Amino acid sequence: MLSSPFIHTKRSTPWVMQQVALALMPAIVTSFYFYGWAVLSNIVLMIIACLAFEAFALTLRKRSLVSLGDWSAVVTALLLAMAIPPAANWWLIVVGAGLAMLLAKHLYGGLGLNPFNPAMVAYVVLLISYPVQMSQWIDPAQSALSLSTTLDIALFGSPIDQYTGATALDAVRHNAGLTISQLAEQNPATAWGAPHHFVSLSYLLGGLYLLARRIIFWQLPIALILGVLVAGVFVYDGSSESALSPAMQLAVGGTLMGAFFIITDPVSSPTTTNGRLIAGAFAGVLIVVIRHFGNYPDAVAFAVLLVNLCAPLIDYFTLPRTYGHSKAKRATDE
Amino acid sequence: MIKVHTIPGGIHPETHKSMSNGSAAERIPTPDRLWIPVSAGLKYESEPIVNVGDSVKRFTQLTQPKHAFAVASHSPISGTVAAIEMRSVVAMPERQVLMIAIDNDGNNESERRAPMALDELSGAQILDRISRSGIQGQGGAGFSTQIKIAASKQVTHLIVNGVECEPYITADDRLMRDYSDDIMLGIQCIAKAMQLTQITLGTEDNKPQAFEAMQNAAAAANINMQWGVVPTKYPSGSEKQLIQLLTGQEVANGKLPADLGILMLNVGTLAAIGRAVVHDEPVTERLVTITGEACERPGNYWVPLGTPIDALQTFAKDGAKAQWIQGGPMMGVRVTDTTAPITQVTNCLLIQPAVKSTSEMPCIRCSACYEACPMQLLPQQLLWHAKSNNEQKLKAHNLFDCIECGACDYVCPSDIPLVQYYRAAKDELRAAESDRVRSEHARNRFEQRQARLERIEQEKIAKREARKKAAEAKKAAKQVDSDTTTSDKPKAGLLAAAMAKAETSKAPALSAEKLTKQVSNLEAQLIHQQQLLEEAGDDEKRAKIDARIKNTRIKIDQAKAKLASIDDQEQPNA
Repeated sequence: MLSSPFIHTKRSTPWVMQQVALALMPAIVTSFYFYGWAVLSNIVLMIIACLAFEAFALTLRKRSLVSLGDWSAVVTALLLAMAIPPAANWWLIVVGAGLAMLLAKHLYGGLGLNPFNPAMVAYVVLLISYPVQMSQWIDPAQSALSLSTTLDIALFGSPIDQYTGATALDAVRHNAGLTISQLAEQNPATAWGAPHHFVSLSYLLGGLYLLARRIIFWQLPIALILGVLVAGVFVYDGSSESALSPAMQLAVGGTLMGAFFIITDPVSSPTTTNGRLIAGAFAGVLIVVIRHFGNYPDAVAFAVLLVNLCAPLIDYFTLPRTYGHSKAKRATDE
Repeated sequence: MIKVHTIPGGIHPETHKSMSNGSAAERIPTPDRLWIPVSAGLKYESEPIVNVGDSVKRFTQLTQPKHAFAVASHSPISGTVAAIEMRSVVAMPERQVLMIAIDNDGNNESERRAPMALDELSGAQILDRISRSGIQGQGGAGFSTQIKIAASKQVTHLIVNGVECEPYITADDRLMRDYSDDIMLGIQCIAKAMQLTQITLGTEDNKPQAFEAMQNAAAAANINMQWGVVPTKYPSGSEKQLIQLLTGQEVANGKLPADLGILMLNVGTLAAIGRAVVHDEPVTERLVTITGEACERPGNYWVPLGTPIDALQTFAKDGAKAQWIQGGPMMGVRVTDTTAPITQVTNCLLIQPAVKSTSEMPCIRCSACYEACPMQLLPQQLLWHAKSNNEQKLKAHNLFDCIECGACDYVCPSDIPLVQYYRAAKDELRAAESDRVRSEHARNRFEQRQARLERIEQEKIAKREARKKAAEAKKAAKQVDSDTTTSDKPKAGLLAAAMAKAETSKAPALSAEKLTKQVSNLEAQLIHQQQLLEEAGDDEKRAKIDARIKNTRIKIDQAKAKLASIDDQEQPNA
């Protein structure tokens, strides 16, 4: 080392990424319980595809393949694999991985330079391009898929025997005249105790681990959750026109995954303390607004991308007050 | 015990203090030759007042400050001045400085001192003794203590800095345990000379013995002090941070602690003041922590100033490929030339196994640096703007408030040498600023020159017009002369000629004014050039400036001569 400081923490960026991957384990295990091998096929295929695209991009850009080992592609792969329906066809996974690694990441200069969360960019493009494939969720009420069935579906395109009915968010969108409690009786996905609630809880568990490890900071997830709850109150009255209850809004549609694993992606989110609070709250409100008024029920991805778009602006206007200065500056100050 | 406030950020690296603080300080054998930098503060110049061959005793003054911020050096040993030449120092590996070599004669003779009891000394005498003793801040920054005190006229509160937050270093810890009486003397000196009403010791909670020793010493010396024990956290010992911890106040941007009525001195500095004032002993040695993973006998040692680091090589473990660092691991400087001497800022010599630099990974904006920054900066954004050299953004993100403590660098998981980036960015902004000042000067000069040329041109035109008029008048007069012989007509012609003449005589008057201006301009230029000459570093520059000064002098003489001749001419006219 040429100049001070001569000592450093043992924390490294690959270690940080590994911790995020580790924190995803509870959600992976819970999903495995409900969906069986269908989840693992997604994950394995997605990791292989993402690493392949990352290697391809690095080679094209004449960069060292050493950065394949930084685990960032693996984390993106895990997030995207968990976001798309289990036992997705291999080509859907390959297209998604290509979008995430090439379009969202390396086109902007690779790790640290992407303005948008790569997994969410890929998810949104897939959702718009392949709406059918992206809404075919296996019915978790059936027994979990075996390895051979999973491989048949994922690799050779065999049809899935039993899809789930409308997801909770879809059920509410297409609700025709039922109150929220009637809806819950009719469609178990909108009632408490549905399988995806347990998956959501697992994300919360993983998120708490990341918080305890000080890999993510509380401002983004807490502000997002509060944003959802507060905005949720305004669109909930239990009637046939109502959205899901604010608490239920948190438990469905990947809200908690978004709160602890997506919006907290440091590269694409605001970096100041106040900026994180603003961004989190904004994302939370956007999630509810998009779900209730928008064309797509999958609001988390859209909300995150919109907040990513605002991140530089938010950062510029939320500089901390430096020691000895009477007030905080703005990044646009002379 | 006072209530201790909190500071944002900070880090908790392993302290490694127990390696070196186990036993009382020892003395190392005095080396045969010491090298004393002529300008102790390095940045501010002093000049040698001894010549090669002179014999000196311990405490003989060797240098005389030339700059107000410079301090004098004194010989730590008796012997002879063996050489005065350019050598390397640790703090500035890129250039050499003038040093005085003293060969030890082994007689250990001292110059006679004039010790006095504190009661017999007046405040002015105390300050005088401090200013004569060449004391620099012993905490590592090395600023002239005399100047720090002189800039603290309105101060009522002395904070004694015994925090020593850098890992590995225990010199202050040992000093507080074993030399608390000297520290108390120093405190009493400052309190008396500056009429202080409040004295606070700040120390970290990992030095309970030092704290107890200081409390006992204060009780014995009957000093009424406040006690602040801060949690162990780096960089609590930084001046700004310790003020925040002990008083809850922040030193306003661009201000000094003195503006809060606070003077902060390191325990080492106070011990040096105590000895300088009461025993009349200038600083000629300091307590150095010699430690590290590749150090043979870690501990604290009294080392004469000027001891070459080479003379301490026995401390390195056999066979270990070691890296030497002056100062702590957080803010220290790598020793690139082991012939460099120990100075007053050498609070520690850290001998570490050589480590390979890790390669820098991309910043993922994880914000660990922001969480660690005690100044509440955004290191990740500063890095971004430093890389793109965005001057406006760097200033808006308060780059110059960075104290280079290295906390951000320490926590960075991507191993980005953040402090290096900030130092480089600061250098570049400073260079850009001085460029701007220079080009501003150049523009002013150019504009003035343009104005001058224009004026000269106008004057020429005026003269030409005047001459033309005079000629016409003469012609007219002649014509009148030849045409008529009446007595009133020549008068008109003469009048016209006189008027024309009067107008031509205005030209020399203008140029007299111009010359006076020129002389004063040139004199101002001369003063500026003389200043430049004083600041100039190398001989080549000096020679150039010298030539310019001579040129200016000649020009002044010429202008003055011209002015005199004009004055002479104008006298009869008037």
